[in-house]
Amino acid sequence: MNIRLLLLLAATATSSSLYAADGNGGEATVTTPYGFIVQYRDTLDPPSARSKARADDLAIRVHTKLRATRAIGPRLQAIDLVPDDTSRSATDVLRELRLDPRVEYVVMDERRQPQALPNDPLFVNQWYLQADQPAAINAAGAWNITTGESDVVVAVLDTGIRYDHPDLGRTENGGRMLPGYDFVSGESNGGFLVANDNSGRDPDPSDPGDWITSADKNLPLFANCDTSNSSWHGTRVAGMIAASTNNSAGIAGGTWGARLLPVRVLGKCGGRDSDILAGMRWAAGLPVPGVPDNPHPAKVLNLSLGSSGSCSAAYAQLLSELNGRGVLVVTSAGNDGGEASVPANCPGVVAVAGLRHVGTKVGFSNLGAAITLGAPGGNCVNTGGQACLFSLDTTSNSGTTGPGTDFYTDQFRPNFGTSFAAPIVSSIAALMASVNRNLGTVQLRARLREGATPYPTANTGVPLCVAPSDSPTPQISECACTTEVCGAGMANALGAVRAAQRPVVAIAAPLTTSPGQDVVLDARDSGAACGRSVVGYAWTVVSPTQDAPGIVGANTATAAVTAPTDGSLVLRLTITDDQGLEDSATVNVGAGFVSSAAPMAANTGVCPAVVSPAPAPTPTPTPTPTPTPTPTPTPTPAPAPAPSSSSGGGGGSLEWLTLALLASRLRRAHRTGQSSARSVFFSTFPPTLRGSAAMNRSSRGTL
Amino acid sequence: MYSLAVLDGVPALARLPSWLAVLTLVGCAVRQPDTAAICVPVIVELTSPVAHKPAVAEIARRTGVPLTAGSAISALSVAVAVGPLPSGMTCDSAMTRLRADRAIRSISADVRRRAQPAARPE
Repeated sequence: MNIRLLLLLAATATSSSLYAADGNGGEATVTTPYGFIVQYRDTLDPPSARSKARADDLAIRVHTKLRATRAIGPRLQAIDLVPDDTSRSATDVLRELRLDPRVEYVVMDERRQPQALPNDPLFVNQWYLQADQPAAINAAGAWNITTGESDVVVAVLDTGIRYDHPDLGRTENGGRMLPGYDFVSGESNGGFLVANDNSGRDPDPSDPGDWITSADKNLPLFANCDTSNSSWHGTRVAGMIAASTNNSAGIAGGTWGARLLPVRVLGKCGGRDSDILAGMRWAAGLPVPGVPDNPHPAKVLNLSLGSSGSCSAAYAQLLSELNGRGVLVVTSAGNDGGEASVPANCPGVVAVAGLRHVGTKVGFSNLGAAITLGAPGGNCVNTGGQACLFSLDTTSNSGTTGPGTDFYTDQFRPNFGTSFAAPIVSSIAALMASVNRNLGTVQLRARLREGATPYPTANTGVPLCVAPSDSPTPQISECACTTEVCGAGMANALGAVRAAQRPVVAIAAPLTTSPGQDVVLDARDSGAACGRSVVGYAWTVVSPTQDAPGIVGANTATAAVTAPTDGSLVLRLTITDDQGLEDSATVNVGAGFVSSAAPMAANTGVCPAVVSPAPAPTPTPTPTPTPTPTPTPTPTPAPAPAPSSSSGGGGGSLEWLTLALLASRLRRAHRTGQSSARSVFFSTFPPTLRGSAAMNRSSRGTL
Repeated sequence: MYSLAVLDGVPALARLPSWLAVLTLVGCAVRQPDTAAICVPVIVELTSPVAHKPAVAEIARRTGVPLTAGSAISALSVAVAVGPLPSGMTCDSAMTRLRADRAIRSISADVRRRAQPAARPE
């Protein structure tokens, strides 16, 4: 059976049950106005015996003909309007059903379709984006949530790209390739042997080719490189992230909407750290002397490059700066079967190991404690010249030296290496950033790991991977991954995007405290995913478990506790969004300090005015009659949310009460001449906190 | 450590016939393992954001280490070519001099990185 048809069927089944169960708006396409899903207030016990009677009873009350069809849950029932009774609109019936005291809620039973299978003809070969193999990332599942937004930019720091590839068009021509920049400098003697384009840094990141001839190898500059044809490496990486998708041609990218910023940092025989670091700065929107500012700063930087060694201070320092700006750096682990290379072994990056299709480590991939997670690295199974079964198909060029004909890699011109595992993860990160603009580097990294699929248990006959330091020789054969050496698990686009939809907790608090001081913890700058809002705050005491101190405003965005006179107090804040998703963080309040790993503010991202739905479906769905104008169902009443403050994460009456109490206590403290720290504290938390969104957050101290 | 990088990025040698370049390199490696005409390129982080070329030229004058400022990385950091060194100066001693200079906060090797496609199918 055609794989696309299988996917269609699977996705249809999944989506209908999912959406029916949660009654969520989701990505409706075609509405069937003659069915409802009713949640009764009491259980149907047994469902089959009472469902018909209950539907009949409802029908009488709303003056129409209804028929119970399928029981969905103990109180959840699908009901159809009887087809011959079309005198009343579904909207009218829906309204009346909602007024019935026996009905907790009712929504339209809408028809759903898989919307996110692209029509690119080579997509069927892109096994790594699908869900049939254990290591495949199920991008198709994630695309039902988002296909990526165009204002999310992924920079590819590589050999440049071929803009003339039909799947890698420039943005002005309807493609997704931004102008980019070429950072490959000339040699100090004035030559351009590495750059290979007769110029140093310039605005054209086109890849001129990086072939090495035997004559080149006589030059000291290239003596350490093997003779090779041009790799078109950047073109391959770029296609995996942002090939034009759903354009009825070629392959699909990991994202359909995100734009790609080509940053050329590698030439013949590689590239220097100085150019790579400059390219990273520029890609992230930081200034580089002598280079125009980047008008399209990237959220994700893909570096499918490296070499052995330890992470230099230059990389560590820049990565720290990028982390502070919320930029995620995704790197390939390297292909030596040993320790992760530089910069994959630098702190704060996402280091991606390569996996075989079954989820074991592909032999060539590096591994070790530095690895964040694994993703398909490409493997052939057949190695004797037959079809390479699990190539990572992408865009490329056939030129052996300069550019030739554009083509796509395939089973007979395969593509593999950790270089191509990294862009798979970069694509996922771009999808994550598309649904939640409040994810910083730390959250993106953590939720990539959170969404990962656990590694399969060890296969018979495949040895366990071990730490490179425990292996006398490189582990260049397949081995069974563990979290110790291959990261959190196998990259999973759907899992990661779902994790990205959770809100992001943020806590602002004074940096220091004094024993017995009242400490205000402010979570109003927590942020939700696009289209959602934070509605609930719950502060609890984690420790001490006995004689726990009270929390003023335990269910509001702004809470207060008294700093202990000795030891420390650990609080946990859990925030809930309007879809019931949560995030939490702990805060340590000691006699002289407050600390938390949570960011101080997380609602800084700006979502697009209208979040793009998945594009129109490609597979032709079964036509669905729409005899009456499609009613717009009222959103399903959400499960009772946690006690909430007002929308937008703001104050509310409880907060005002909290602040009034605190102000009173603090004024009393001032009158009795207590510590000066209190006066500092008081001055940084004026009673007009509600209007403090524009406050300089730094004046509150940092965590 | 720096003398090992003599094979990489040596423009003066690049102009020699290949057999002569190889002989020269082998000769250097055998006879003068601790001395090199040209050291590995470095990234110099300055202590203050000043114009790179004059700053590097001034450091070269002060330390006696021949330096050539290359491409900028940031307001503080710049790629620098080191050499050819004067007779008797090794790369290690040159680096020691540079690290001691008041205008330099840090120095790191400007290492060459490569793309990471795999070499063999499996």
